[in-house]
Amino acid sequence: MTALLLALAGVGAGTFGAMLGLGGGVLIVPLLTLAFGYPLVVAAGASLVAVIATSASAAAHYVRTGQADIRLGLLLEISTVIGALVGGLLAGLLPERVLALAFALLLAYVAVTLGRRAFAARDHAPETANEESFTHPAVPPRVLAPAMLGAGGAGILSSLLGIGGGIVKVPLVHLVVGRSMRVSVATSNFVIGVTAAAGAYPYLARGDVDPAVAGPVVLGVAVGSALGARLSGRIDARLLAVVFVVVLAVTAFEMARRGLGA
Amino acid sequence: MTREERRLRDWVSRTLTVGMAAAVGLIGVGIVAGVVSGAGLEVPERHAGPLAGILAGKAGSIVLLGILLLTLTPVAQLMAAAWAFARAGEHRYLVIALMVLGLLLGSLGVAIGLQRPPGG
Repeated sequence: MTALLLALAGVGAGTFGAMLGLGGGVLIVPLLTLAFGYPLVVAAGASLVAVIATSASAAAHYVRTGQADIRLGLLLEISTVIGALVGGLLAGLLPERVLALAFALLLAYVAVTLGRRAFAARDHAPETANEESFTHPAVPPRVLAPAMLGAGGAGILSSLLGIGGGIVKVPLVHLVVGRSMRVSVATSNFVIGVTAAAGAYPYLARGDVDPAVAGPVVLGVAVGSALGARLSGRIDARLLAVVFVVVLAVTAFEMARRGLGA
Repeated sequence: MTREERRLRDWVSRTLTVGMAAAVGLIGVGIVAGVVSGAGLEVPERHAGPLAGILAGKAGSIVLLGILLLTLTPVAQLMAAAWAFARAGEHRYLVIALMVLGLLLGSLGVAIGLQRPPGG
């Protein structure tokens, strides 16, 4: 019965995560800790593995249809993998409250920035990608350094918190590189798998990935993320951005509560 | 779209699909085996490795093997991208793909190096 509930939780997290380029980690960790009562380390280990499943399933669709910018994704992967390594080393040094509060501030900032764009009258996103054929322009050299720096930060957060880092990567690709929301979500999904794999290896090596927890969640996520990737192509890009802002705001509130010990 | 671009997208996409399908298939088989046998998904020893567990008839070890395969899918994805860039003569992105591949394998090596000894 527990396995079935875990799988259903995975379906929900996978669907929502793939639609928003989140990877589902920010949904899976709270679900496993708050709803199922698993220790954070077990939740984070299962989450990272599930995030790989989300990315692999959704990215296969996004790459095949050309929505994901593979070249931009590879550039971001350089720094995000390094960030994941650094995050793994930092994990044991920083107090959890400091991390939670910093994370909450970051989420709040991104939510406000994206929200303003989503609700702007017309000019809400610089559409540099050809949405018809999905041929992606070269990455402008001036945005390469900030984009890679941001991806490195996303990699650190991924390792520290057991998430894919899509909450940072989607706005990064959208706002800094200037890709459309849809291309940003697709490219983020492409990058997330590599980030999560780098973060998951220490958990596996330590034996912190419990097959009884991670197995059913991965199965559910596999189904949900395939569903979410297909649904996202049929949903208005602005609506997607608004939903993303709401998710960011709720997650920021929860992180702040954890940071303040409430 | 050029033939090279189509090949890049096809190879990367297929690698992800095959890796994901194989991993999820193994995980599914393991879960069914655990439910049918009534033994659950426990693994025999934390550090024994999934193959030893499978030989011992533990369903949890089949699930663990599927999870391992899943975590190696991004490695295969990078290899596919590198091969497609090599075939297309895109040397810049070939180097970048190999660089990411090296970093990912390096992180795997670091994780294995930091592995706690049994009983530690």
